[in-house]
Amino acid sequence: MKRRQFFKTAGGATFLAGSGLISQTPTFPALLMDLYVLGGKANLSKIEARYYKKHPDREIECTLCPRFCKLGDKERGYCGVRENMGGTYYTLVYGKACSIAKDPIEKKPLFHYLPKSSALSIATAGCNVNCKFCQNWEISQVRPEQVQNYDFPPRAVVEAAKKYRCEVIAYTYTEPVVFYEYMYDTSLEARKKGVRNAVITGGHINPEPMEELTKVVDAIKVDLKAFSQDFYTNYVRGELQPVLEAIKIVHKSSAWLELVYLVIPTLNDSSDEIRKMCQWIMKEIGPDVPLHFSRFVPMYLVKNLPPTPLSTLEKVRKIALEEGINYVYIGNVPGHSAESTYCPNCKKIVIERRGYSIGKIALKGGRCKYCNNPIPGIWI
Amino acid sequence: MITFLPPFLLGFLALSFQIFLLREFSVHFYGNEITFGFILASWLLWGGLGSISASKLKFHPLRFPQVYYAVILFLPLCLIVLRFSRFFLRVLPGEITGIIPMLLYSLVLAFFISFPLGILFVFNAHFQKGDLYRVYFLESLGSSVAGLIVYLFLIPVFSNWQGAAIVGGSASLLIFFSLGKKKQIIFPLSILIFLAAFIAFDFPSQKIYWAPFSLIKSKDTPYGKLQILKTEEQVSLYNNSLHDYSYPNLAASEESVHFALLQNPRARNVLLVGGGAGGGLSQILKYSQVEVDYVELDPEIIRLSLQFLPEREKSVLRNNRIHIFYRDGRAFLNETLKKYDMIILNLPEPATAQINRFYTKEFFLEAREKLTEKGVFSFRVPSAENYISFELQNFLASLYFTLKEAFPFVEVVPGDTNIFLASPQPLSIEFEELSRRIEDLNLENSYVSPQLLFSRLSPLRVEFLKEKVSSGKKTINQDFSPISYFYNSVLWSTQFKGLERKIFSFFSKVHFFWLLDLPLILFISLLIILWWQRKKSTFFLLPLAVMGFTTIVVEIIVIISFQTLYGYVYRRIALLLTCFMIGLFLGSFRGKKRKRIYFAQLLFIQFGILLLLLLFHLSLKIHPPELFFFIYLLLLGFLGGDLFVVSNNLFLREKKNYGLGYGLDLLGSFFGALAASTFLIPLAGLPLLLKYLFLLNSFCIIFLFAGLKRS
Repeated sequence: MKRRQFFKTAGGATFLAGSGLISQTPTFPALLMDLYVLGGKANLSKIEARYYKKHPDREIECTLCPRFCKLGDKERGYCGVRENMGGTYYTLVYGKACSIAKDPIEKKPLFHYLPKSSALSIATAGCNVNCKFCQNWEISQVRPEQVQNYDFPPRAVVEAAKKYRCEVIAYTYTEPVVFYEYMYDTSLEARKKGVRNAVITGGHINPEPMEELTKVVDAIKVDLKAFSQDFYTNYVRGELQPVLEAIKIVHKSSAWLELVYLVIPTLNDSSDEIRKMCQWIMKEIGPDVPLHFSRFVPMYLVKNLPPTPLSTLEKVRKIALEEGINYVYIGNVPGHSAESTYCPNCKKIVIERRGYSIGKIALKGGRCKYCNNPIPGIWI
Repeated sequence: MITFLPPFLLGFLALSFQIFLLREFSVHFYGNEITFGFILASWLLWGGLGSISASKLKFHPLRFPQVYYAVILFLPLCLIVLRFSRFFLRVLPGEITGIIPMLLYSLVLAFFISFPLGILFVFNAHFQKGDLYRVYFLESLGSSVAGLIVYLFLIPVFSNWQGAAIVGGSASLLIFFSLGKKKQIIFPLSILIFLAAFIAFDFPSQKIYWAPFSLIKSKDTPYGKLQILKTEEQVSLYNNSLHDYSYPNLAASEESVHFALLQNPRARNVLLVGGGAGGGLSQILKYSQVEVDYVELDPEIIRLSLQFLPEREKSVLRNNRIHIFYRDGRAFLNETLKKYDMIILNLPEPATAQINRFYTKEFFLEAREKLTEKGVFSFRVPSAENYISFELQNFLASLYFTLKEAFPFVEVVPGDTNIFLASPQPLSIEFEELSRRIEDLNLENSYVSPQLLFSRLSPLRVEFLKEKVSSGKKTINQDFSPISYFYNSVLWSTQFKGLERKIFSFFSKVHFFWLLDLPLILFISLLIILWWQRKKSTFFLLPLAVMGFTTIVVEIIVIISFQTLYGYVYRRIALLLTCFMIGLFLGSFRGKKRKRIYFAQLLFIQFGILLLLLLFHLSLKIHPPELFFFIYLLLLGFLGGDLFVVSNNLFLREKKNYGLGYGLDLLGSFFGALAASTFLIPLAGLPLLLKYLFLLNSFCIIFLFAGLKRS
């Protein structure tokens, strides 16, 4: 029955059977079919959420993220994927992925974490902020009823990762904080089977859930969207301080941390702002956390802004290096020399990158092959 | 006192102000036909209400010129409000806004100009001592002259703000000389001073609009507002506030041409339609044997590019392997005798009916005809990398199935942008194959390179997209049924969380019955009720409202058909509109000259309109010569003008209400503009819409016939 429904909803199964591709390289629709996936709208879960307080009169207060949504019965949080039903708070997207793909880990980007590995990337609908430049607005800025959800419970995710030779499961595209329970349980399940977990987040989360999360995942990439509350207020609709706190928590934990800063021309690229951020990084988390300056490409509501000029990216990278940060990358400019990892001691290339491809790796036991300087990261 | 001037100026101001407002409106809001429909509809609505409500106002000779001055002052004020709209809406420069703010803005701005113009029509009737036909006739003459002057002389030379100021300034002087008292010289003088300041504020206000970005040049051309922004070493060109290109921007320029060229690296003759100046051309030149015919609609794009691009890119534009043609791409393809190994369409997605004609079955067939045996045709549209929504799926599927009608082989490259490739021969987007070709050719690409393609062209992503696209709703995008344009509007609406998403989603699901049959049934019911009431005046007034509705819808249909068949030729489109207005003028002149006016004449004119509708429906099936469209609009205008005079004359015998007939004409036009441009044309298509117009007018004739029997 479920198989037949899949034929109806996802369609194209006949096409795939005829294309001959199934036997050579399994495709995702085929993958989903293997897992008895049921696609369709309004395919929602009803699993109790983990971080919330109950109040009188069937009211609740969500304590997962800094929004602290206070909700009456039948109301949903800002994220649109958690609902108060009769005084109990439920997540509607547990095991309900709407986007599933296989990506190189370099695309996340995570540069000091298992180079050349593949990540099974999953996302559900929803987000707890509203960035005007969101790359995945089709799924982040909608409610789960508005997208096609697949039944993809934690165990199935791990099985798929194994089957498609993905060393890592990445919780990405939208904001994984909003599908916290799903991510948490999948990570536990993955660890049991020797698959690792990476979280790609905006870091807009409260300290307690973040601390708990760092115990079950292996790497966290935080998008620091700017270093000013103004920018967070106007273009993100969120708060900066909780993100900074979250970064500190990840740094103190056993999970590997990398930072990405999307440089949007004239909006968050002032030398002053960048320098302040770098000084904060040096003071709070030290020089060894990789920092990626990504090139902005116009999209979503601001699709008519100009893209980031290369010189701006080079300017901000220079500032970060001046401030003493050791690993500063330029992202989204394939072929740029700042894609590769340089040993801060001997300045030689230890990992050569071009786009998502890795050239030579000059690392030996996590150290520079030329001067034996330790290069922080998770390499095996 | 020069009595002919005020009504003449009324027509002149109305049309020229409408043009300037519309042009500036499309700079600040999403400039497609839906936007035009909104502003045109708001304009007609307020004009109609203005003239109806003016019947209640008392005519005062001293106040008369002051209403003119007010209108002349309101336009620049409205243009200023429009330019600073982003501050009121609290958005970034170039940030897109939804339909609701657009609708509110069009309603508010049109009110300030069109409502007083409606009042002026009635005041003019009083001023001409009740000779309504003289007012209508002079007003039509004013519009015709304004059409010619604004389109042919003002727009090609001046910016919108300058044009508005020139028209306003001259009109205020003429009003003063024809109507004003000497004591009132202060009015035109203050207006002139204000307008001078307004012109001086044109560029600085644009700089404020773009802040914190740095605007270095702005130029209004007949096709839109071109603006150049500089961010560090990067130059960006904007066309009506839409990002056209940034230089350098390797990602965009590589993507625009290489996927196509890699399909046939030995291609010699390449036709590039649009978007070459921002770096696409230098990418094509990487293939040493290629000669390029590059077609660009607006010569100013190249002129500005040559002024602001770095020397390296300028030399590309002057390279002797590149031949630049300033033409409409479709018209060029239609006329060329050459065959191409490759046709690369580098235009925006079909977000307007005007651009939609580059994505239709008819155009794809024309392209195929001009391709060599192994030729490749390609275009690209924005998409989503990680999720294909239902709305996106419908849009992509419409393009895919339409391409399939013309080409046996179609491939779609996944990513944030989807590149569609089509050919009479098999194509390959396999990573290994494309990488091999890139290496064989020694192409030093950054983005279309093996280092990125392995992820982008992973079989998982390619197959996923193909499955999504080919399992979507099978619709064919056609010249006269622009369904991809509609799907694109639906997709656009999903970016907003508000009402727009719901409205478009409703229209994308609604059955034809509710769009066409139900309104017609309601109209017939209305006719029966009116017939039952036996009120004489309704028999005179109803044809006016129907005529207003019919003529505006047909005008839109004629312009879309014309530019589909003959390309977007700016001056000729302007002449088409002017032809209609000259028709109106001649028609009202003829009406005025009639010795006797009686009811049966209405029937004859209505019958003439019916015949014209039939004629156009038939002509859609053949390829009529260009002249046909001009004569057609002239005739339509003629019948419209004649009908206006005859029915108003009959009505005024019953009741001295100068504004009602004019108001109903405009209200009919309001409904026509709104319904046709928002959903009727994209959803029903031109032929079906013409059929329903024919039915609507037939019932109107039956109604009149019944009225004739009664009288």
